[in-house]
Amino acid sequence: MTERGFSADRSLRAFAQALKIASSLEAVGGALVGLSGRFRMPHLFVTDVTKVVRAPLSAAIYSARSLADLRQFLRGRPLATHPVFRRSWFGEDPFALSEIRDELNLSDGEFWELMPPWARGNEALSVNMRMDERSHLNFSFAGIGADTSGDVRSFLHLATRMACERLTELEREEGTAARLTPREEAVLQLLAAGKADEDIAKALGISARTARFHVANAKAKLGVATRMQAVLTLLRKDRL
Amino acid sequence: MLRLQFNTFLEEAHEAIGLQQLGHAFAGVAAHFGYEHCVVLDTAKFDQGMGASIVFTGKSRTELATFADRNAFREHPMTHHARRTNAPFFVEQVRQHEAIARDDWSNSIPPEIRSGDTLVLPVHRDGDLVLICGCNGNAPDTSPLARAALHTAAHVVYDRIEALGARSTALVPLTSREAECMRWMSLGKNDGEIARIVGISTRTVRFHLRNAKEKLGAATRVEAIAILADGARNAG
Repeated sequence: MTERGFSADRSLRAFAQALKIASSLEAVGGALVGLSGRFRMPHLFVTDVTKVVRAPLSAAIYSARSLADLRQFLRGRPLATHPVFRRSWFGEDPFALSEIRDELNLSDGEFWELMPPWARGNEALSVNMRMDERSHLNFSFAGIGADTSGDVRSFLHLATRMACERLTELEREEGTAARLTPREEAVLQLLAAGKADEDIAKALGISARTARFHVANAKAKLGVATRMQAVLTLLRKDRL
Repeated sequence: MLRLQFNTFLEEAHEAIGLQQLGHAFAGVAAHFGYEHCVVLDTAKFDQGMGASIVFTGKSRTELATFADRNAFREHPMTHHARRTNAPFFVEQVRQHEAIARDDWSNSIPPEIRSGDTLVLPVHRDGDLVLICGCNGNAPDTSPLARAALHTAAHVVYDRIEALGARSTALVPLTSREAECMRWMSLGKNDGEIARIVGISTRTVRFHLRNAKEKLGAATRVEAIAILADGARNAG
């Protein structure tokens, strides 16, 4: 339940800003926790659901608490039949842990047995995100006395989607950057510093023709039309 | 990408200096999901009649207000449902839940939302319903994600209304010249007449009126006058 002093405007703007400058899974997770913490969910566990059956150890990809703990928990558990993951395969609506307990009519003891020791007593909100047919991530936000009301579900569902889009973007940028050779990168750095082709050639001990050759290749690899764009792409990646 | 779309919305909502502009920012993100018409209602003002509670509508204010007053919107099952839940819902769900016949239901809701899907986004603070955003489209995106995004946007709209300080547009800072030109225009004077009365050129009159229109976030002069009139009424 959002209280009077709460501002979705301020919270979402802060989240969007954190996401914009996030350059790693850790930072993206941190941005999400910054938002979910406002609703008494300081923990976040991200699981790659496509891997829980065959490769449970690499299924745990992020934990605001401890990734080792999460892996330890996933080891040797029949995850394919675990109610949280089973529910994750159906529908897109976020759901709360307590709903599963109620649906399965489990006692507290039986229920907590399914959870990691450190999650006992927590309420959690589970958000599932499929960016394409092959991907499926489960984001579980947890905390004691977590607020899982309708509005909070909306905020975290949207925020999770935005986070996943940011992650996809980062992967793509990483892929692009990896393909540039050190020489190409060096040429672009000098270009960014305002050097002319001749200066670049002198600085790197190559001919101006070769410098232009590197710029042309870098442009092609980055998929941009002008030198300006090539430099901007590189700078944007560096700032991340 | 939804992220960029929503960031744009946050920026636009933040920069809006009037309710009309704010409404347009919301309508922009709704359009992204295929919802063509939007309405924003301040439920705290239901007591003062529907006209007072309409923060934004993409269509005619007067028609909606008249219709809603005649049909006691305050007590409509849809409004009751919005008071009970702080999750988004579709109007059709309420009809089915209340087991109301299709024809009776149709007559009780505004003509604009009788066809297609209408999503209702209740905004609660401290457990009280404070704002309702509604959007209607012919074949909109009805997925949980679309609902979540628009519900979040509705919350942001509420916060911006609060931040604008005014629950009326009376606080939009028009300069005295802009206000003067608007006043004469509302009395039916044309640009040339206003120019003579105020003692400035016709071009300058148009300049002031255009600025006033922009400040109020109105698309036309008529809309600008309507917003001012509404603001004055609400403030009074």
